[in-house]
Amino acid sequence: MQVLAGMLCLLGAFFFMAGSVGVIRFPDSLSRIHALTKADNLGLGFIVLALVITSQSVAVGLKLILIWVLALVASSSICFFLGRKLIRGG
Amino acid sequence: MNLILLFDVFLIAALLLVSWRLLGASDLFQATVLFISFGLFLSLAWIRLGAPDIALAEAAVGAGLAGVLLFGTFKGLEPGADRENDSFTSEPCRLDPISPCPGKIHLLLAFTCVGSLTTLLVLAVLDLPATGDGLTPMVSQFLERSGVEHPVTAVLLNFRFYDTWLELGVLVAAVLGILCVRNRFDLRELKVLQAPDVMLRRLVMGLAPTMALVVVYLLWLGDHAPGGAFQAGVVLAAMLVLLWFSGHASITGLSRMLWLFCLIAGFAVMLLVAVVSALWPEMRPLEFPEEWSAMIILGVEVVATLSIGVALSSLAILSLGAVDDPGGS
Amino acid sequence: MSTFSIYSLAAILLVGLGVYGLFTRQHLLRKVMALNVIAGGIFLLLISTAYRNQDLFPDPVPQAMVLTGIVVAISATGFALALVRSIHRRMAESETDPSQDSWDQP
Repeated sequence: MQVLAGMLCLLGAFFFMAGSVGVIRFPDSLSRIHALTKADNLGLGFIVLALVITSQSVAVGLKLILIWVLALVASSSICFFLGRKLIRGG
Repeated sequence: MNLILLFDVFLIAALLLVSWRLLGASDLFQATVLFISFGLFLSLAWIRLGAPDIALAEAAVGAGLAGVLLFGTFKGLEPGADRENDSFTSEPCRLDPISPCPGKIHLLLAFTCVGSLTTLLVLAVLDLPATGDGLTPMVSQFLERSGVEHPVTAVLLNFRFYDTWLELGVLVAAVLGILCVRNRFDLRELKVLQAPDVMLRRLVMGLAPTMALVVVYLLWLGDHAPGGAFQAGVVLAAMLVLLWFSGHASITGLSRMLWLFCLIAGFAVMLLVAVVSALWPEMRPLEFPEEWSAMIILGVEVVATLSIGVALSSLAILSLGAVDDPGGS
Repeated sequence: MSTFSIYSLAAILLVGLGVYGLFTRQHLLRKVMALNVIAGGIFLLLISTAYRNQDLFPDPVPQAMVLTGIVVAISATGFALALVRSIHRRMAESETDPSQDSWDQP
């Protein structure tokens, strides 16, 4: 169980790193938002999964999943607003 | 070198770098964004130092609300305000009339002052004993008589009740001060600058119940775990600001009396507790009877959450909101 | 080096940076940010002293004080920002001649 959680954490960290590299390396804002929201949400998902596996109670696991869902909603909607603003030229 | 030390060094390097850049960056917009990330790094440091209560409050206040306030002010300043040379520098320099205003003498003076201050502080800190219990044994000794199980809440709302009380007073005073500066005594005429769009309305509508749930949960959690009136109040403030920003009913819909009532309710309830306990024969001021303290703390916390939420959201709305008539202020 | 000494030294450096910024930056918005950096440094110093006792939980009294301090700092920031805005508006209004822009003067 612990090994699995550790591997998931590493996988999550890899996606976070990929997202950060994307933010630094990509040329324009739209592709940067893309890198940030997609890769980082996946990374967060893996880390939350690892924490859910190692958490002792069901309630804690559900709360962690709720946090992930909220982060998903927040980042995707912020991505949408930023992207629309960029396309309309703000 | 163990890993946690490595993490500490990275975190501190990031904190110092971000604060250096936010004070040094030529672009004010960039500085505002860096200020938000400074708040987030600081809240990581709170987690590292075992203070999740403060991390919660810092992430919401230092990174969220302060960012909103700074952005609002930044947008509200006149165009051209993002330039570093504002009109204060056009006046001749008193100390060094030849060079432009932060002249060499200024910088030298500032550097000397800061250098001596830093040295003194470093000496003072090195003089402190490296280990020490502080007031922890005392707090844990009296914790079971305080009416709550979480030590930070016990300190905030029982042992150092007056701190929290006066802090609510500071909040009310800040809101009143802003009202005076803006020459405005009502929130109702403040409007959002842009028309709220459908997507944002729907999103906030969907999120509002969750946020209300989080407020209640944090308030309840403060009894035995990190959480409590402050954190719940800040989330409430965020919810009210978001509701206002997306064009829903928020505190701008309240009548003036009701709004002022919510604003001062926390301070007033704590004043009431203080007066009653001072007049009660066998008790000293701000001392509660043990069997009532859980009830008193819960009641005060609920009202304080409401007041903190309303006061902080009023701060944000007052700094973001625009008035329809241009000659108003 | 102990955690306490690392974080307290970092806190002092933050205070120093903030004071330096407060003295040398002209823009008022930047001064408000510098004040907040000083506040952050002071809070960090308090919490790092609270962290010294390793056996129990960190000292709750400094934690409560910092929690209070954060809310006081945000109220002061809000008020300061309102003042900044008001000062800028007065400055803009006092420009009687619109052709001459005070922002561009050296």
